Amino acid sequence: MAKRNRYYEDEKTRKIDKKAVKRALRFAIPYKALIIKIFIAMFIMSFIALLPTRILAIIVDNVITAKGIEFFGVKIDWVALAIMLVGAYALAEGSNAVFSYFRTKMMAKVGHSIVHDMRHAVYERLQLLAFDYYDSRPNGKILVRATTYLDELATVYSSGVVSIIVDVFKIIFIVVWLMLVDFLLALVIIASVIPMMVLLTAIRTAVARRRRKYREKNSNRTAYIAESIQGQLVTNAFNRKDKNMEIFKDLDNQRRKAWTRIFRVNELTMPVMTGMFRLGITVVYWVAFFLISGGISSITPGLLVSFISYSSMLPMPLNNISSQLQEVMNAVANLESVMDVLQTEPTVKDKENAEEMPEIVGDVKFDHVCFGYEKGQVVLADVNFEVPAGKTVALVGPTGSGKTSIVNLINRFYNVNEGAVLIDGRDISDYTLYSLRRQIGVMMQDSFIFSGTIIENIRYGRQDKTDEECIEAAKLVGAHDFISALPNGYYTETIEQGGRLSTGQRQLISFARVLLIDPKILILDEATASIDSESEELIQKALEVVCNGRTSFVVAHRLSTIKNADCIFYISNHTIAEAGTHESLMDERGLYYDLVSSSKTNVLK
Amino acid sequence: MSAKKKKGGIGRSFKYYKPEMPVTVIFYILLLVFTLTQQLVNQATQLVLDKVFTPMLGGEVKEGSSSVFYFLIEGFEPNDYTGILLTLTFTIVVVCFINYLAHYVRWNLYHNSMFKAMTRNSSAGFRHFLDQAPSVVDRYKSGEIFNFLNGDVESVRRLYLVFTPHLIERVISILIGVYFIMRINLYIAIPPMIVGIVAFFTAKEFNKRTRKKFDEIRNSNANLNTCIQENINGVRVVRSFATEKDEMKKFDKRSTDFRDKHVELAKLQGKFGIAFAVIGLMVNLLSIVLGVLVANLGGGMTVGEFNLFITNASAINMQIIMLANMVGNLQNSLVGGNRQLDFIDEPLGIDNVQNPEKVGDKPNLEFKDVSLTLRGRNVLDGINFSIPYGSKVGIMGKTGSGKTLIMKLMNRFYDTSDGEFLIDGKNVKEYDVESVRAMNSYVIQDVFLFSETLNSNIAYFDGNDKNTDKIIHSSKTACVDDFVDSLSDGYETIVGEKGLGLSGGQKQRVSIARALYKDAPIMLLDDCTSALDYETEKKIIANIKEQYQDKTVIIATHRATSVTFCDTIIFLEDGKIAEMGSPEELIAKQGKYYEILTTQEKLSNGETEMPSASKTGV
Repeated sequence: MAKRNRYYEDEKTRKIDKKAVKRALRFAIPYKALIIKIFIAMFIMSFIALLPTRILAIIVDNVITAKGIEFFGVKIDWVALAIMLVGAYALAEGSNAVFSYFRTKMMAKVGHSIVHDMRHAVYERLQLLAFDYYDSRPNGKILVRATTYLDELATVYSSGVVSIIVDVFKIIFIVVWLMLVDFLLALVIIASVIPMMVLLTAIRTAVARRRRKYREKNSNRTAYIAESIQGQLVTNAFNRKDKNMEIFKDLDNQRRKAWTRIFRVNELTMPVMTGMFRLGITVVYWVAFFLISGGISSITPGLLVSFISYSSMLPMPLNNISSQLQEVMNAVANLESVMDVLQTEPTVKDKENAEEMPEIVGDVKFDHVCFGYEKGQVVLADVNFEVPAGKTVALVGPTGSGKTSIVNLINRFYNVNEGAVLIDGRDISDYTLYSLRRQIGVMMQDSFIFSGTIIENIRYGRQDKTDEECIEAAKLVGAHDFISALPNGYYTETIEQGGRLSTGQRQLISFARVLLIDPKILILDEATASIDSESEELIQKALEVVCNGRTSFVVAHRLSTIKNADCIFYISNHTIAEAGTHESLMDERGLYYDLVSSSKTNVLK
Repeated sequence: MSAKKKKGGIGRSFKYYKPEMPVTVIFYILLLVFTLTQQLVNQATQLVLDKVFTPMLGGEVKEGSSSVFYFLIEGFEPNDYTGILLTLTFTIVVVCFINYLAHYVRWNLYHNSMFKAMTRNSSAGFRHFLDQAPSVVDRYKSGEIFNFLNGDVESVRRLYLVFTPHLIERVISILIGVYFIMRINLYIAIPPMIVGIVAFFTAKEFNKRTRKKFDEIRNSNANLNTCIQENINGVRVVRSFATEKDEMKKFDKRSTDFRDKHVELAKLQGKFGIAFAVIGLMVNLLSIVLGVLVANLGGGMTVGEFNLFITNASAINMQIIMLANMVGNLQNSLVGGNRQLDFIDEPLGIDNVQNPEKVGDKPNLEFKDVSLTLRGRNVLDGINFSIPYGSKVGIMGKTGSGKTLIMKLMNRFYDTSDGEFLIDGKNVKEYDVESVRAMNSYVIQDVFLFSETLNSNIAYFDGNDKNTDKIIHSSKTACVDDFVDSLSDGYETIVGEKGLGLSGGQKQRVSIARALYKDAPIMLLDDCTSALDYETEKKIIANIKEQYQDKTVIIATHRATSVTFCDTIIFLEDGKIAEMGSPEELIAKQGKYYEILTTQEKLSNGETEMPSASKTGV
């Protein structure tokens, strides 16, 4: 079998890969128009959002003081002015709200649509990739690229990026307003922001470190709980309650300490943010004081108020940007892994002008087939055989000798290195994979059960089969009895990958599934674990039913299966060492004979 | 789950949080300090605007002030701007400092304190889980138990640490904010408050609907992830049946649903966003209009006061909205919290009587007319046998015939429904439960190894005080040492889920070694050789026989040849004893045992599994 990537290799935060980002941005192209609209909306919004404060300043200066205003020579009294300003205020805030609604809606649509498209592309690619891709990495790593990373991206696209852009615009506009009020004072405020950002970044880094520590402690505790639940009986049987309680208490304490450590630093955030701002404002008071005393500044009380208001709006977006930026970077760093999938070429695919495979009779031929899972590896060397339609072949031999590999090639799960696999005289690589595999039935050692009902599992291969046809298949393989005995019969939900069903029951469902598609060629990998004699009988019978009338290749372990086969292939030394019926091979007194005689007693696994 | 009425509500959690009362009191005192100082800064700012900048810029100055800090600057000359500004600046710095200190101290104290309380809660949960009878625990899904010790406990903590403080904080902020507005003018606070009531109910509705949407999104996400997960885990089936197109259809449906639910949520948030914006606008407009009216037509209002009024009114509105959100989330967390408390309160299925006895070290067992009913089905009926100390007993039967249940009864994982299980003539219930379990070295059917070293697993009974000699000895007896040498870390190899994946046969051997290490008076072997080949099984049984020469061995299996060494064989069928006797007697009888024995031997001669080249199980 091919090697498996170590599970513990950390998915640490990596540097951003520019190529991956470019590729990812291509998914945004269909939504170009909408994105531009959103951008414009955000720009306008950020501007409008700041107007009310300005309007308030005018009210303070010219209305509260009942002064009225002179506007290009036209005198407006304070009442009319008040009405105009209140109206402008309402307009500004009102349109801000409306823009906000559209922005939220559009951004959610765009963000989640882009991720949906990406997920679709990844999933589609995964359907094309052959077993070698799945063999060379743990399923968890593949899963995370199709789920978690994309979920994080969705959050980033639909809110993270938006809030960063809005905040950037806000800051720009605020700084502009501040400078328009008084340039010098604006500089004071900006100067006070810099130490604040430095401190906040330091705090955030320290907090991130402590959060990581907490997560570790938390996951240790979680893992212990999970194990305690699973190993409940063992804990009881071995009188470990008190000891385990101590262990749990200790884990709990460690977690608590890590938690409080986070907040010793985290709770500094607010004081730093507010404190720096307050400090800045206090300095502003003094600078303004000196400017006014010296007659340099022409600031009004209203403007001063608006200045303070605008300044107070600065810390928040600044803080948000840096924290959001961190999240965006993390999500984008994972882009590389996701885009990786899209760039992986399937090793087993339809050739150009591949034909549809017509309904086959079932003759199978191996013509000088050589094969290895990896470069340089020899698993099969010059395998030749011809099996006419309808015959049953049993493959036996030592573990790792190549039995499973042979049957893997019939279905083109892997490509041959040299030679060809022929069905009805034609090379199988001439046909589309779809038309090839639809005509071949495969039953593997462990039967995978999907979530859903039992009948849906039986129907899995052919969605167009009726319930009656499924039940018929179940009856033929002997599964009908136990299925009918279940609480909801055929409509019982199978959960947790068929966890409640016994191994034998899962196998029988698998048999029914295969029988339903009525394949001309059948590949079967016999399970090796011994089940109790009653289930074994049922499975034995099911095997005979299913193999009847089809070209069957059985990787066999039970002597009865082997004895009943039309032909036995003894695989050894990368090729078929001996072939024949049970009787003929026994007469040969060769490898097969040795194997059979040495196993007079029961199982050797 | 048992249909017991829920006793008490979330108040039951109080006992875990009670020791934290002193800290809680300090927490709320500091909250008052915090909120007050926040307002005090505004008070000082008001004076800065009214008494320094307004006169400096040629504006009108009112006599006195509504600000509480007025007394600080009363003594100054009205045009001593430097002095006034200095005093006020100094005041602001001091007040701010107290504010920050209050914030920092109270939250650090509280986080630590509440987490301690949560630890108490989850410890109680874990202890109860350990003490509870496995048969009761089995009625829950493993995810539920997990929640009792994790998420639900968090819910309760959030109730005390997040929701309650926030709620109280909001209320206090609102009250203090209103007070300071009323110092300016008694009546202008009322209209914004009325708008606030509208805001409250709008926010509650928003909270309810959004939470519903979040649930929908969560479900949609789970469906989508299940689909993707199965496609990846079941890739061999997908390729075999060439169902890629069907899988894409299934995926597209779920992914589209997931995306659409998010858009629906955004629409919901957007609509309510407008509602909140309008409410906010109302508050601001009302404040401005009222402020202008009072300033120009009423008693007059300074710039500082106007500023304070607008700021406070807007802040109060936001506090009200946050309050409404909190109330909604609070209701949600009660559910989880109660669930977990119910679990802790559930009485123990198997418990000790007063003054329980201890089992002797040479126990004789007896089943007297024992029957067991589980989930309405009669799974054991009329079981009668006696096992004197030192006997070797085989229990045979098909899967589901009752072998495991008998062993579980021997370990008091269940209590009999009828009849008695006697140890040395006394009912098992009269003994201390732990000592009953201590009398057995029980190898359970579903092998479970912990994610620890082989050493720790084998010496599980002793915990930290491992006896290395005993480990090696048990290991040899159970034929574990055969494969340990081939492991790079030897006995320090980490096994279990997080460690090296051992084969079925290897796991079974370690499980047997673990039981041998405990070396209890009775050895219970429950179908623990199914993954072992015949040779190894024979060897291990022979070794056990030797170590347990004088002690009791009970082996449950469906392999007839495994029990030929026993003194007595009990043959079970559908929960009843079909046959009982020594192997010779049963063979002579030519009954059920004989039938199985001969069938299996035929199978063994005709139906062997083909040997693989490697001897060690893979």
